[in-house]
Amino acid sequence: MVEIWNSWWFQNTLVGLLVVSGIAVVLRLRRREYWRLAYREVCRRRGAVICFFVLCLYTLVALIDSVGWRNALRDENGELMRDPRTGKVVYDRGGSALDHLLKGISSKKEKTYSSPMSRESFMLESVNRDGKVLRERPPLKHPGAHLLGTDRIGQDVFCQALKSIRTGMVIGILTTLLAVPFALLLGVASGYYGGLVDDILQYICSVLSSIPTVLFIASFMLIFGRGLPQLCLAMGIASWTGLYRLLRGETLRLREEEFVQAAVAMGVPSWRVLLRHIVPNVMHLVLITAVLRFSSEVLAEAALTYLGIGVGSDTISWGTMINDARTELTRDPIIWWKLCTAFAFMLGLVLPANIFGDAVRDALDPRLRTQ
Amino acid sequence: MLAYIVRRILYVIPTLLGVNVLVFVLFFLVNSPDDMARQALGEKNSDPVQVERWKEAHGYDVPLFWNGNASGIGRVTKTVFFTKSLSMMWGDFGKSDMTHESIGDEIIRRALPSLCVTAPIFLATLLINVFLAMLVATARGSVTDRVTQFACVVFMSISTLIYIIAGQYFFAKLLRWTPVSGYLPGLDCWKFLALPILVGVISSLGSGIRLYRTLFLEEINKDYVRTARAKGLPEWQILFLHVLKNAMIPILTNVPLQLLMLMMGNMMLENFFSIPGLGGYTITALNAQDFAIVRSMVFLGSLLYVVGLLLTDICYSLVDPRIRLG
Amino acid sequence: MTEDGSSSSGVDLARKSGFRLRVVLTALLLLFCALCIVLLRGCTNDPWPSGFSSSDTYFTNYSSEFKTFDPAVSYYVHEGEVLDSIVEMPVCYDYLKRPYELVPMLAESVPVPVYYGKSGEVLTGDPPSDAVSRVEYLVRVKRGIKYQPHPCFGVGTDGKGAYAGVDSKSLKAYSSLSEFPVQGTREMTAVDFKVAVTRLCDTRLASPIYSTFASFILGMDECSSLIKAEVARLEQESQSRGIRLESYPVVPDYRTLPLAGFELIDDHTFKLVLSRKYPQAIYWMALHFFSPVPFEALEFYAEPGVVDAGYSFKNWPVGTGAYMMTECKLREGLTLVKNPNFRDEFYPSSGSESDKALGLLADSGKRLPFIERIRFQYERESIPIWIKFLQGYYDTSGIPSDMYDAAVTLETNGDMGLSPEMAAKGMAMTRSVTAISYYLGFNMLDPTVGGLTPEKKKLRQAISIAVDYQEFIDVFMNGRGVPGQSILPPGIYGCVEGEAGVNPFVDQWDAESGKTVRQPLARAKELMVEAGYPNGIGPDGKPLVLYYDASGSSSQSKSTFLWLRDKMSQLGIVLEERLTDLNRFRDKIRTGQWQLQFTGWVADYPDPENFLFLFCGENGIVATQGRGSNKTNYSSSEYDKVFKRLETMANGPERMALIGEAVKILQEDAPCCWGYHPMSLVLTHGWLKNYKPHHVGKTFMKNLRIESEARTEYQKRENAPVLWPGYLVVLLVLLVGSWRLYVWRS
Repeated sequence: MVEIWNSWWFQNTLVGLLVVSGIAVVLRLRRREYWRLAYREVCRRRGAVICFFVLCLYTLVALIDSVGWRNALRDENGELMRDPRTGKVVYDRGGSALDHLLKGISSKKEKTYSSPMSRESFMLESVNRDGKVLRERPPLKHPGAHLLGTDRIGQDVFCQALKSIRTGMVIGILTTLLAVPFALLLGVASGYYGGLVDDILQYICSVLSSIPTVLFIASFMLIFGRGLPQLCLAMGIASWTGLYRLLRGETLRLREEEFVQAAVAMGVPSWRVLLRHIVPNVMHLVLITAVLRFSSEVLAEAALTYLGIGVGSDTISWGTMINDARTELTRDPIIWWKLCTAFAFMLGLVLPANIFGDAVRDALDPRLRTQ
Repeated sequence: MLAYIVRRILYVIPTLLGVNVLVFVLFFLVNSPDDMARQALGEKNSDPVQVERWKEAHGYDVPLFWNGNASGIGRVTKTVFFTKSLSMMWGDFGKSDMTHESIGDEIIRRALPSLCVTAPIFLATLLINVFLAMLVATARGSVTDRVTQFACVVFMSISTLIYIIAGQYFFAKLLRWTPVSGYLPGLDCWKFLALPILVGVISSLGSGIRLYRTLFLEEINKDYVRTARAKGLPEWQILFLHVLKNAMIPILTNVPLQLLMLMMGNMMLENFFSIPGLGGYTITALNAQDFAIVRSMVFLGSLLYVVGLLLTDICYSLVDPRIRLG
Repeated sequence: MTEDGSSSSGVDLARKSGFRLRVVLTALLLLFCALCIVLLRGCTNDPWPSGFSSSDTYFTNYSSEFKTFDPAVSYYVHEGEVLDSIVEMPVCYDYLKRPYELVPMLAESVPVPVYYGKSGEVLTGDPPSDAVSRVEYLVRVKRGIKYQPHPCFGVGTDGKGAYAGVDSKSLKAYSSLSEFPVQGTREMTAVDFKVAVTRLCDTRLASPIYSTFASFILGMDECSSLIKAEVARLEQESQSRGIRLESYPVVPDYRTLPLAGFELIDDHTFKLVLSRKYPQAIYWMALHFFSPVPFEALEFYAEPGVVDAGYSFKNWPVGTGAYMMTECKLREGLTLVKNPNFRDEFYPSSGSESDKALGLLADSGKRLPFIERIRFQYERESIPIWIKFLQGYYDTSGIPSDMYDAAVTLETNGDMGLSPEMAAKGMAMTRSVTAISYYLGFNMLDPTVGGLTPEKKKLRQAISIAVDYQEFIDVFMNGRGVPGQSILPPGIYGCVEGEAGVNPFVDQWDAESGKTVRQPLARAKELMVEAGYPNGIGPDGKPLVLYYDASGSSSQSKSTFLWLRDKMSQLGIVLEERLTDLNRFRDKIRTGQWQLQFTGWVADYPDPENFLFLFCGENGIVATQGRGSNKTNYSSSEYDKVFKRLETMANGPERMALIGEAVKILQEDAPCCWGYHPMSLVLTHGWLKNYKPHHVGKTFMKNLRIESEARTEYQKRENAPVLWPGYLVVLLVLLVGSWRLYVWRS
């Protein structure tokens, strides 16, 4: 099971499916007047469009980092290596497309810290010169190759920041993707059917939401261990209740609308009413929530990682980067590049997400649009 | 009215029971007492006998749900569920798995430092945010407003961690205004609390101003404001005398809930500045994998939340009679 | 008209209330600014309670939590520093002398073993182990030594203990044991040692050294089962009285329970009987497992009222030492103050020339202890410790590797020296190699890396060459360490330094720099070929994948892993990390389900046996089901034979040769990649006198002295806050605020 989960073909298919279904949804929505209007509304804001492109750039990096392949191993003579018994070609462990792209930089390792674009190491080293021991900065193995410097063990900071993008995006997107189906299904059902169903669902919801989010995630991670999937799951479970309430309320309102009443009166089965009339009319709420929540999920990851309940330290993320680097500010001389890089990359995602989110909300929520 | 309140109070009990069961499932079914015992015992002495002994010493040696060996009421009461989980309902949090200290005492001892951090932050944030949001609202539509709005979004997009790290760097290291971290009981505490409070207030500025600005703008579009304006009242008087009063209703009715949640402390700040509050307690317990403390804190958090929500609802129904029907 | 009038009065009203509002706002603005200025004026970064910094208090810190101060259980270094200031042992190490030398502490003299042969005759000299059937140590303890004041010695009006049957409610008023109204003391006697040793046999305590002690002290196992029976009897008794056992454990009378290995001769004399020759026993007498335990204390801490009030023996130890505990908040800090009943003990008067030059003999012959109070502060992070040290709020500090270049300069001869900036502040630096070995262990039971076949040996040697710990020391420790050639750290008898000590399988001597360096990587690759993994590709055609097992994760451990993976990849080996929680990790160690782990060993006493026994087959952690200390599960009959011979031998040429032999076997078999022995660099402020690091003994605090005036002066000088940015902000707020108010009015 784990084998399959970690294999590249599985991940590639998953990413492909996600992209295809995303495009399909967009195409479908384009046919509707409501969404076209909203689209035009968003396009009117130059800032939002710029932000959208920045987000697309981040998404692209995350996608490149999510698909990958394995390379065949070659011996010294450049011949393909084969398993002596089966004759099959031997592969290495592979890496994502981004890994392959970045191989040029990420393989250039230094011994330890070096400042951005520096030609010499940041740390002093003892050098024996003419019988005298001096403390000086040795030249780097790859001078000037590190755009944003290297960290304590000589890894390129820029590469790490790029690799973190995927973690951030996965948390931002997957958390919502996990929460939305639940919230949608239960919220709509609860609002539409009412009665006992509603009572039970409301009860479950109030139980879940009365546990403070951080504490819930904390106990979840304590019991299931740290890691990206666990974190997404925990944050997903912790966050579906808010959306559920919103959707339930909206469905309650929609149920009384004439077009729904008319459909019911005409004897349309309830699942069809839900699917054709209710769900499309609450989708804007889902989208608003997803977009608005995105940035806070990314920020939450950093905070949770600092508290020791985020992704494990073997996953590169902005949270782990900040956590590693937070003592570097008190160093003398100060080391700022890792912290600043993580900060800048994170801001580069969260700020556009916030601005774009605002634009989407304004465009989709008619009540606010009038202002 | 009374009926509503009674109904509302009665609803609290099943909710807490649900939380209790959920906590139990997480902490005893998923992660069994055997796992806990092996964790607590050192590497040198985790043979099965020791595990049993540990469980016995911590009261985990009874069945989870149903004790067939006991008689009468003991069949239910002599179980892990009853003694470790259900007992939290009446405030008996038991003892820490690691240090054997009473968790209830510890919570009482640590609630004060937590409050000393969170309460000033809450108050200062409320005042400063409302004040600044009013200023922004007076200038709505202008360049100042747009710049402030953008600044707010930028402020919101910065991780709390960065605020804390930068705050510690500037105020403690460069300017030497406060100690780097630590805490002392009594009046000496203020010098340690100044920095966390400052950082806490600054980090909430962005979202706070935006939220209150929206609330004010919503209120500004209402009819009575239009009337006041038509009467010729100056804009800022409308804001400070009328809009503020009405906009504060939703803000203030939430206060009971927030006040209770303040007790839980702020994990980030407490951990970073080593303040011995409840947030720090939880984090220490998490790192030490002290399950008893973590599950107590989870339950306590829910308890405060549920009670706070109850109070808020009651406040609402007192302020706004229309709610009662809901 | 009327309409006009009403409207004008409406505007009037608005104007009036507007005026009032403006006054209120102006007042608020001024108030805010005034408050800010008052707060700024009051700024201070003194982390201690007012008055503390200028008092005669030694400030130190701990970063991992204390679990217990029970002398029978506590086995961590940081706990020892506290506990050994409170309790005392029969013997201890001389504070100044190096190599470490035992001197009497509670005993009148350092006990010497008397060996008895098979037929009961006294053997002289250093008899071989198998000729000895019984060993006796006669210990005479000093007279007139009194315990610290403690409520357990308090006598009530009825002649019984003052707190017998006390109610916990009446104790809630006191925040510390030292506040209890009735205190008392008594003379320490030999019986207290009986209690201490017998207590070790109590399985409920799970004393970590029980199995070691049981292997040489006569009759420990019998005593253990006696105690078990006695405990069962007492438990039944208290159960019949309806007392909950888990909260109120019973206390058997350790004074009267017979232990064959402990003969009480009179009030001040006892005899320790060993079942076999074991010269290291004398070192164990310098550890707190041998500190006297007054039985009154155990009775006191078993009182239900005392238990309910939250006091326990493991948090509030009782002893004869120089200090006593007055505050114990494990997650905040501890406070120790001078023990008023402390015996006449004086600062050592003999030391080496260098000690004299360093001024360590200035206080010779003065009465100990010097410092009134010791504060242990809980600090989770290293950076605040360092900053507070620089600010003068801590008296000593290690040097976090992040701060190394700011604190240390290299002298022309390559030695580390204090940087001029630090020296100008009056600090001093002490450096010493510690008796600690860190190593990267292979699980010898693992089919891939374990085993003693030549191929597997070569694989491990190849990995050892690739993993260059000199580089590790450079990157992670600023060169503060010595790469290990074997398990023995420098300074321990049998460790050969220099060219002769080079591990011939992995290292070579670099005459130019006068250091050992790793053999070239090409050699490692050759070894890989011989091991059957050319270029890291195994017989199945796949790259060799190894697993690095670790528990928890910090940023440091992550960097370490990445570094390790990088080194391994030079040989084509793929290293993967298997992170688990501590619980699972311990399980894996116990059952041998791991491949590589990084671990270390701190000397209990300065004897090679304490390190070499880590590879004795009998000690295998899997073989002993978790009780042994041999984590690698290394088991070689050849090694065991040599080890058994040298184990109990007195130091001398013969033992030296055997140690060399044992080390050579280990080097060839390479059950671990020999890591490093860290060097300890400690900075002390100029006002702290008499500091000399001691890596085995922990009773050093009583020797320290502080010149508080110098400290206060330094603190004042270094910590003046920079206030102008604050004033600037207040001024800005004032300006903007008044402008805004002005604009509104007009």
